[in-house]
Amino acid sequence: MDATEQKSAIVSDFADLDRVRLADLQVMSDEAVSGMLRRIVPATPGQGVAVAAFQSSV
Amino acid sequence: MNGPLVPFRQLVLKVHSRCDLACDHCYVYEHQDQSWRKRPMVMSQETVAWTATRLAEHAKTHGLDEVRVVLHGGEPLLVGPDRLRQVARALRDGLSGVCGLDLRIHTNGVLLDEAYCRVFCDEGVLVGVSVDGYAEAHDRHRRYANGRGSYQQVMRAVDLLRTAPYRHLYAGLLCTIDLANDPMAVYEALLALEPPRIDFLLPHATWDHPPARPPGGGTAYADWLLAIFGRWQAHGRPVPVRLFDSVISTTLGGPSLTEAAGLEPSDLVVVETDGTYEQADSLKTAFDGAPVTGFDVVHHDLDVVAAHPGIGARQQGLAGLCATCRTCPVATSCGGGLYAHRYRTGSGFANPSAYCADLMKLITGIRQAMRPATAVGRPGAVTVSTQPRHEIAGAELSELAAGFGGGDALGQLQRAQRSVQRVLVAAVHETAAGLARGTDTARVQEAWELVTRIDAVRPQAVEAVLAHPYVRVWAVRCLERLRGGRADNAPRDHSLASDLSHLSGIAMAAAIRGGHPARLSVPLRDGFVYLPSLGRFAVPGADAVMVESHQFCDGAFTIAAGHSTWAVTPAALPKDRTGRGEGVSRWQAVRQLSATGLSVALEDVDLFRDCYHRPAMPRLDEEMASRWERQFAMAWDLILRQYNAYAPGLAAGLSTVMPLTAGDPGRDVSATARHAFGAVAAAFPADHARLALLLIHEFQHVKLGAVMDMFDLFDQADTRRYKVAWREDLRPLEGVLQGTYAHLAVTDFWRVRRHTAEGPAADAAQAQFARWRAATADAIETLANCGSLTPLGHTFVEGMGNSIAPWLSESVPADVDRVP
Repeated sequence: MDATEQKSAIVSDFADLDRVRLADLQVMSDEAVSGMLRRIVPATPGQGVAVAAFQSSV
Repeated sequence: MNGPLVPFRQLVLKVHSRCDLACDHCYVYEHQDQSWRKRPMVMSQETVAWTATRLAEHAKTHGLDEVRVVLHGGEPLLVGPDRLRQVARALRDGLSGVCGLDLRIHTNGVLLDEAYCRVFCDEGVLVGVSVDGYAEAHDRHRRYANGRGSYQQVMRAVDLLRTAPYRHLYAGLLCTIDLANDPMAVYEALLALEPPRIDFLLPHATWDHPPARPPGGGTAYADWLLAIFGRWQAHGRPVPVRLFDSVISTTLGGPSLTEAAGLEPSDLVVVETDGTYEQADSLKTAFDGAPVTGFDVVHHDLDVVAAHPGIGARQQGLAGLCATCRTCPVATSCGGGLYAHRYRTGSGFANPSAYCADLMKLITGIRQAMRPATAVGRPGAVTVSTQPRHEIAGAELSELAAGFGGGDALGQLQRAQRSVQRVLVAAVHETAAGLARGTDTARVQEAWELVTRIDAVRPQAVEAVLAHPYVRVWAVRCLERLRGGRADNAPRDHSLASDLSHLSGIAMAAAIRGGHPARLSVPLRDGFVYLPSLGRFAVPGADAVMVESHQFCDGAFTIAAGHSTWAVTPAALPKDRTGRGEGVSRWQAVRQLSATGLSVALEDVDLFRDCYHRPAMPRLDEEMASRWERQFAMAWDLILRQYNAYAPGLAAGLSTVMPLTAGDPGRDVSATARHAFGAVAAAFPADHARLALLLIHEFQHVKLGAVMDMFDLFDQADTRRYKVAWREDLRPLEGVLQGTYAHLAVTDFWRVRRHTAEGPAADAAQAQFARWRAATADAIETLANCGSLTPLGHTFVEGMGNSIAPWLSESVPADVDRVP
């Protein structure tokens, strides 16, 4: 990382909710939350989860 | 970013290219692709053998644990039971010792009888059947060539699958939607057949050949599905419905469960009767030859096919969608719908789905139904997407990448963790209240309301409880169970409702910490009431107790059950108000390990602490707890004196030590869990130097896990496994990254130790240093060359490389390899 990069901040796509009251937090129906949860709790292939399963079979 | 090759985990084997029905909506015969006319009717055994060989070599190359093969067609039962047995055996024999095989067949059902079922029993083949609903609905399309309906024959087949000897083979039902069919009647007809799962399929259509709609019926398909969804949800989701479960899963951040929706990369290939590989055969609806790859099983292995641009086009996630879809608020659940449905002559597949409006309405409707009624239209509600984003200074990231990270860097990670904790708890509440079957929603809602009241007046108290490492473990477990499908890996010893009720204990723990007066019924688990971060109280024989916190009472609280009441002051032993003198043994507080300038919890009671690869120790007696405290204090002194570069990060971020059961004699045991930020688990080590090493090692995992919560360091689509020196098994990319980061610190530990120890201990340290610096340097090179790091991932790995580079030229004794 060069000197310029060292000075700059690296911005996450993770929302800062530290100051948001829990009572005001609305997480369902929010695409940003789905994205956060995908990173926090990713699905791992090979754990018995058939992701993107062939739709012409059940 | 060009991603790595995505291995195939699903193979559709077209064992027969003809069908004994003439369904007028069939994509194989009635749509744009007509290649079936030129294909052999039956797949030869040689082609089956080649397929098994190609699949085995592919699975071995990519370290796959399991692959799924679907026997398909045409109508696969037309090959006859004996031939199907041969096919199944060839596949199992070919994959034996390589990976597991999930073998299925999908059939129209008209030929299914005991002879077939006995083969499927013997060979472990699951059976899915196409049923479009009640008789009139089913026979609207699924007819013989002479026009006669197939419903009666199919019902005989399904009835056979429902009988005791074959019930375990019954995989489920697929229903193709027709708007002319009454959705409620279709749903009830399918439910009556007691399937283990159902899926509803949108009839194949493209922009060139749009789906049939009634006049003005812009979202008629969504309306049809939402009618069923409403009943399904109201009745407690009596059967998994894949499309609905997929939307729920993706809304909660999980994977999509079908290629028809979501962003998961397609890992599917088709082998036709002539041995040619094809892309997903739904592409037959787009244009003649759409699924063709030009490759075949005899001349080409599966890696060649996996590199085909048509395959890759369905693996790009959000980046692979058209501009309209990329910015759509339901993109993670929709994913542009089924790839084939996006086709339009002239623009190919770079379009939304021909069902775009239906998918938008369906997904929005399901998501709205997932929110509890109390959240709808609530004034002051904050949407996450409008909030500023977390960030970390470049200098702090550099510190972390180099293997360190001081107070400021850990502070940034902790701040992000607070957001994680809040999102998770809020997601659990909203989803549990909106959707969970059998949940005591009133209890969950009451606990949530208490937590939010305390958060408004005593936010630090709530923050302290949510920051407890095993609260996040609890929340993740609840969400994974709420996602449904086979993504639920939680142990089945406790119900989901029981797990969700832990929110009551969280709420009361916050009330007690904050000195906020509150009273709440808290259910027991295994005879204890759990108050995360504080401890647990034993009340054998009770289902729930009333916990009451008091204003300004310095953490005191009361527990009442039946005629008994106990007053508990965390700093003192509990007093039994009934005078029976039992209180002393009932309260098990979370103890503290105190060292110079540092105090961490010794967590041996939390309900969700058992989340590591080794079991947690049961509650320690006082003597063992004292031994831990002495060992910890000495280990911390050693870190301060000799490994000071790691001390600031540990001081800022280490909150909890969780005792594990011991391993084999002479072997250290330690662990971290991705979701237990701030916690290190370890069996009681032989000496304080070993504990210092374990703490430094494991805390690397804690830091990197928190970084990966905030940033993508690698492409999740890379599911390859890699060789590392510290494990016998091949590791996924995340595991390599974690192991490398940890062993960077391990190498540094021994680099210092070889100079501070004496005699044989110093010689051993030299050997350890030489060993781990070589292993870590190799792993850094593996990471740098894997092709799956993001730009930030490359920066991070470069940081590790810059730390280890000077160590590689430090001298070690020539005979270091001879030291055991």
